[in-house]
Amino acid sequence: MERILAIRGLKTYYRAKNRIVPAVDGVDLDLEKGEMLGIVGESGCGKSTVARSVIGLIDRSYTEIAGGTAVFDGMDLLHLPPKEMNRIRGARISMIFQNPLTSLNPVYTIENQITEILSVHTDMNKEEKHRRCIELMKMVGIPAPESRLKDYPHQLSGGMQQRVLIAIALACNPDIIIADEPTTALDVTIQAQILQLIRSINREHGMSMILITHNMGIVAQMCGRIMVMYGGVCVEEGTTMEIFTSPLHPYTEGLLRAIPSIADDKEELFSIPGTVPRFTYPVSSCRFAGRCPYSERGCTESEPPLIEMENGRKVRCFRYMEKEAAL
Amino acid sequence: MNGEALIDVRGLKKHFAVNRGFLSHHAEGTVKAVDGVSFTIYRGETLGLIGESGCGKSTLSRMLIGLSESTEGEIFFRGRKVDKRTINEIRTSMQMVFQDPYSSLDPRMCMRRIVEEPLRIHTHLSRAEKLERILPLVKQLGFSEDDLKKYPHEFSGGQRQRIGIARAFVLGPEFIICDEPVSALDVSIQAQILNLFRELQREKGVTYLFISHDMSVIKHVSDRIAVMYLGRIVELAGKNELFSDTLHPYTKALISSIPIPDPRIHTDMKPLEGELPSPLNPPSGCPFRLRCGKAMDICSSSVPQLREIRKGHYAACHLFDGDAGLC
Amino acid sequence: MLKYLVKRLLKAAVTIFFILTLVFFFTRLSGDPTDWILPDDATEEQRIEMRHSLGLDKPLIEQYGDVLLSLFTGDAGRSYNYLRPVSELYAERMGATVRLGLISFALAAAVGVTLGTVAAVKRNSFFDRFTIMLSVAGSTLPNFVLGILLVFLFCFVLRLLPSGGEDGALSYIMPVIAMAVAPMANIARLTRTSLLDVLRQDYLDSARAKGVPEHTVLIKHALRNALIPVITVIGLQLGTLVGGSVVVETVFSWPGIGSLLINGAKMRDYPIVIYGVMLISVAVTVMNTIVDLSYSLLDPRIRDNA
Repeated sequence: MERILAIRGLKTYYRAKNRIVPAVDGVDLDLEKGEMLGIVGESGCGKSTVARSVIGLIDRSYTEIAGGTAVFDGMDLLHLPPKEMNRIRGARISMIFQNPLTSLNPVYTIENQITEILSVHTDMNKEEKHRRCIELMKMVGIPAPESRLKDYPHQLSGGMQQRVLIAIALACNPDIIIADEPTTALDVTIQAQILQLIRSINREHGMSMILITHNMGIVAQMCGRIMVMYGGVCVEEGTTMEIFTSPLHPYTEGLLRAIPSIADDKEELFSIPGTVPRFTYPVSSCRFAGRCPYSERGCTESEPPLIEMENGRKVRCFRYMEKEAAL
Repeated sequence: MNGEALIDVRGLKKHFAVNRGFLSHHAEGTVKAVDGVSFTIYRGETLGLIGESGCGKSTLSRMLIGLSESTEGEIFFRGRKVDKRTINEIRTSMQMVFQDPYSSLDPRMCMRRIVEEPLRIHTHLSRAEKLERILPLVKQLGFSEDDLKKYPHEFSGGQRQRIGIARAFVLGPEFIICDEPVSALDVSIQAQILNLFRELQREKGVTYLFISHDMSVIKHVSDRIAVMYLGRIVELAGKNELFSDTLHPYTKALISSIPIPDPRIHTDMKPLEGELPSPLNPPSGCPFRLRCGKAMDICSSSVPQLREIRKGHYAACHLFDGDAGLC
Repeated sequence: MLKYLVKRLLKAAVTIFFILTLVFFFTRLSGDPTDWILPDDATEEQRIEMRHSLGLDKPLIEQYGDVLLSLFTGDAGRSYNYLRPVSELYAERMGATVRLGLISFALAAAVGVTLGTVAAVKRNSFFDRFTIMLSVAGSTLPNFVLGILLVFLFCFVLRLLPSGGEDGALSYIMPVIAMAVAPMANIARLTRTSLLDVLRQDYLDSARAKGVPEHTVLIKHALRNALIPVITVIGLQLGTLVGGSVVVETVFSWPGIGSLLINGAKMRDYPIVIYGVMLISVAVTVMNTIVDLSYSLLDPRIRDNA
């Protein structure tokens, strides 16, 4: 396996009123070539911020990269000058967003918005761009693309809008595509279509992908490897099979037991008590301690380290460390 | 389910005249948001109502609760016809829990006023009596007496939804419409709320119409499930029958579109082809035929009616024309 | 679209008709024009004769009919004081007003949009706060007060600029400033608000994610959307600009239609007043219609519904 992106110790902090919010607080992540990696977690866990930090889409007026590196093709993306970053964004790493309607500019045509990325990164002439545009629209399954070129975003359905965004992301054959909740705004049958499309892009074009979602069903069906985030850190990482069949972290375990599934009949759903607390820098306890059924005194006194096992599986929990020590 | 019918809906229709745009004022067409819907809700059960955006499920619920007038058809509540004269008496027995816990609570009212509001409108209780009525309920929902002074912005999304639930339950209603009550919430919070609905039902014997676009949630909460497509109910059955003996091709597609949160069960996510037809210009005959893999000649000429195919299992599909009257 | 335009113009015609009716009756209430036309020692017979020759002795309703008819046929009658056709008088002075108005408007729009954009991009900076302060001051200060202050400063204290009249480029400076400041302030404030709103939109991030350089994101994606609501306000500002010209022209003795109208009103020169009001109403209506149409051209979501 060839490693295409290596994030080490990423820290992204927000400045809020009188406090610093560690939105991402030391995340390591490796993306292998051609794999589909899932990042799961609930709102505010930092999963989107990881992606946005990597491609420099954070608002620097209140956010700062407080530490870490993200190495892609010998470059540290976290410390790249804006001009260099613009050459990477869209051309080598592109992104698919959550809300297709609001992610398209309402006043420009579909053609305009697809060809814009070609104008930025290639020296294709008008004719070539036009042809590439139609080719891309076909590739993402937009029927009768010629008749859609002059449409404005609001004239398309949500599913078609998301296909347009995927066409834009694919336009320059990037090495990595980051999809941030790409189907959350869509209906289930359309979600299935889009997931199918994303899967085929991953498999047929061998494109490396990071899929960010809160939906455990989507990661289970789509991803080979999963990182579970909570409170700005990775609490567990492993292959999809490992995470679902033998979760090690109490949060992962709770999350899996909390979701209703059409595949089984739970009378009562397990519920994780309380709500996600708001963290302030510096954090000096296990972030899940307040909601954890196994929490002990030690859990609130210091933050457990992320333990990496031989097979690459990672977990951040004192309870696991104790069990290991006992063995 | 053979109990006492609490709600009986007969041939309910809601048609909207559509003025395309604000510049011209003549009607350009009619949207049949709800087009001839009949069903019964029995006392003490939860009827799940599922469908994708634009299928008419919200319009239907608004008519049931009297927020919107029907174009045609009748609604009976406890055997009495609901009309302009009776709606005010019935209103105290029917309540609604809304989707968005952020916008459905008045930000300028403290929790106490929000929860007491139905009492203020419908009863002449004194201040102390009102407090006496709400206190046990809010405590049961996990609030303290001090929380009553707080304003909506001081609560998390899950807590706000609990406030919405408290407001719905305060008059001791017999029937509650839950309109996507958990779709804005995180997984761990969603489980808390779903369990709460169940607990309250067990204790107070209330009847629910539970609307959602999430099949897993619907399966978890419902006794019977109705599937809507383009303004019509296409299938209605007990929960287990619906999943084990799915009749309508749309329901089948809906179920197979759901990514199952278990990597051992491979969902092939066979997506439905195409998209929801424009409600302004629906296909002739069966509204689903353009996306249906099993469409026949008759499907374009005649609208299939919802009929009882097996005992208690209704479907509106020509595939079962031969099975008519078998039960 | 055409249907919409016709409907809109019909509505405008009705509005103008009501304005003219009001103005007609108010001017008739203002007193007897012969007080101004005839010398103070004129006899009662001379006054009656004068009223008769001006048609002022007819029943009011008949006069009203005459006036509407004359406006409709384009012959608006003669001024009582200048003794010339009012249309001719207005035609002579129109140029000065249009020049002043267009220059002021262009300045207000250009400076307003620029200030608003920079303020939004550098929100909460010193420049932003300064712009907000300036725009509050600018939109609350009446233009005649500003005009008088300018005259006081530049003519009487510094002796740099002529105090009035249209005479070369220098003479434009003060009236243009007096007229442009208020609309400029409003445009700046609205551009800022609108752009701040657009700057939060997802499609800017999706443009950035394409690798589009920041300045292109700002101009092509953000400003293009932010200006849509600004255009409406600019249209409304055009109306105030026309109204403002009446006052500003008086302050600076500008030889335009504004000062003509004011003088006409002072001297109860009915034809001057009613013709002037009609011209201004028509101008405002036409401009508003143009703005409305451009609005739907700028925003495809509205265009689609037209």
